[in-house]
Amino acid sequence: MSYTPPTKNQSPIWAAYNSTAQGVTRIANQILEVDQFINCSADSGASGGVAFPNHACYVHGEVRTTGVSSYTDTYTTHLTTDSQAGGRGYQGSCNVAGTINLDDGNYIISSAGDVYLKTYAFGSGSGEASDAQETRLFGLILNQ
Amino acid sequence: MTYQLSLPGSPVEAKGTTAIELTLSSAQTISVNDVIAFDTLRATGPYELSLNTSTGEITLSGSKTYWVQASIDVNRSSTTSSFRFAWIDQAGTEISAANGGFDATWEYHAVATTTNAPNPTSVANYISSNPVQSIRLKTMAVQPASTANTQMSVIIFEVTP
Repeated sequence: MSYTPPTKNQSPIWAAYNSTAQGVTRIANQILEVDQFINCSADSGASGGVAFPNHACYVHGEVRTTGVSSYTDTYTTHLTTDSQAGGRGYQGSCNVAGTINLDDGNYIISSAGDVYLKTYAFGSGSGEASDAQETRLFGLILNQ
Repeated sequence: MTYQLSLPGSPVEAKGTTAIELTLSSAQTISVNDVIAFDTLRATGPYELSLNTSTGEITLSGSKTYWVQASIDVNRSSTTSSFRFAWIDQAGTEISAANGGFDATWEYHAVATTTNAPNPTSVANYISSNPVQSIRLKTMAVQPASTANTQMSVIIFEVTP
């Protein structure tokens, strides 16, 4: 009898995060790297994502950023996996008084492949020195 | 002797999951160090956690895995004040990120402040497959006499691993 134990996610609920500033630049599709893993592990390429088993999973990502010039100095992030693009979450890099509270949430239903939180697009401000102070990913693996 | 082995991969699935919602039946006046006293619970099925409706303390089951998400809704008593909420354990200690605790923070920025002005984190999370005995949502920073609105809520996924 053979038995293949799970080797990636050890729990139906997992989290990954990075509490260190990452030096984000104005490059679209840049991975906002996570480097700490709770009940999960790094993606196979160790490129800042989370390894996934082939299970349906709900993922919520958050990022906390800083800006350098004005409230227009924003960027959008999105969650993505190896096999499918994900839902986007609008992300502000600056939260000036009098402006709206910007949603920091990114949401995706993943079915397979590693998952990453990436930059998607930038606002008109000088975002070169914008940064991601903290990146968080949470997941719930669902019944199949 | 009888063995029951799971199929490959299946041990990580959420075999039994109950979603639980905690809310406030009335607005709560808050200052720094106050705990949000959630007093109303709804659930999609059977669950093992318990809620102290006087204190808002959530006692967790050691045999379950949890994802707890608190959505923040506050009226600040001063328009220039900031706020922060975080999960604390039964000893009153803030649960660190390494132990699955993540705060919700909103920082006031003056109009002239355009650098190093972080966006808010909207949700205070706690995740654990080896949960602490109990958790409470603590006001870590806020202007005195602010208000936690009834729209403030907690969603908990209680999972049988």
